[in-house]
Amino acid sequence: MAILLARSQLNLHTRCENQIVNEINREPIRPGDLLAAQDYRARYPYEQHRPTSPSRKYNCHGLSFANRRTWIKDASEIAKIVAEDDYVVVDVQDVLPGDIAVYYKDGDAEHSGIVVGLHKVQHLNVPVILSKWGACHEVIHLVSQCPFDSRNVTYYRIDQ
Amino acid sequence: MKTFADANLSNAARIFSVANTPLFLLRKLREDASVQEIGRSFLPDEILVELRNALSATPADVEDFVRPYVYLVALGTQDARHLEKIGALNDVQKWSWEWFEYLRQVLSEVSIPTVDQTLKMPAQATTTVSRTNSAVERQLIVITD
Repeated sequence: MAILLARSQLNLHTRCENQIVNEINREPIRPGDLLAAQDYRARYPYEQHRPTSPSRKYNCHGLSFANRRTWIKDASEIAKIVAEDDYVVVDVQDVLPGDIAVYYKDGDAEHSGIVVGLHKVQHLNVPVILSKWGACHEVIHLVSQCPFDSRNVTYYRIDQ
Repeated sequence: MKTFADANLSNAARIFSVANTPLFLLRKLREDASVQEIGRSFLPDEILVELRNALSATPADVEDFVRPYVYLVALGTQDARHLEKIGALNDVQKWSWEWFEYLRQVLSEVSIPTVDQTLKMPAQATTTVSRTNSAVERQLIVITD
């Protein structure tokens, strides 16, 4: 049986074989994490809160770019992934399920998620996002219905 | 706010729970009313004492986890030179507050450099004007005959 450290970095590479800085935290959830998650379930009653436990093993970027394996905290790593994995920017009107949404604020990639649907509001298609909210659980939410700044969201797609 | 116990850290705790990146935590704490009020209500040395106490305690809930970050950001809104007085965190503290050193570095780098400047200007009357442009910039203008 493998003995694993409570915290470590996974070998995680871009397509260009450069390491993506990350940290998986295998410790049990912290005191209060469950209460915080319940609080967000109550604050966003119209979003679909998946039955996943709070976890510091992975965050939103780990979900979007690393198959839920680890926590990626640096905006520079997101920029590296976008560049080296050949992501291309998609206009919001062309967004499709499977694309990635990255929420930017002052140069920081503060949140990301996977587009899983489009919600029609009059003539607009509002992206529906699967993401993880920090150490809390996973949520399926309208792009603007989350605790993050949704005024500057960029959508990406790998097309080859 | 008369004591640190008066501070309502519930919003700060909520921010901490969903923070994917340390810079998100920093931005949101800077906007938080409780953090701003702590910065306004207490002297840097008073915040330093509370910060050290918070770092020495065993965190029991999310508010305990966010408390050192709250005091760090509140301190950062004042004189950035006080950030250096915090001292190095031990390994246990670094384990519990893994973004602390990074955020302290960011706060130090983005703070306005402290400038103490004395200007002497000829004038009719002798007047001393002390003007504060920000928490960390002081300018003493001495108007002399």
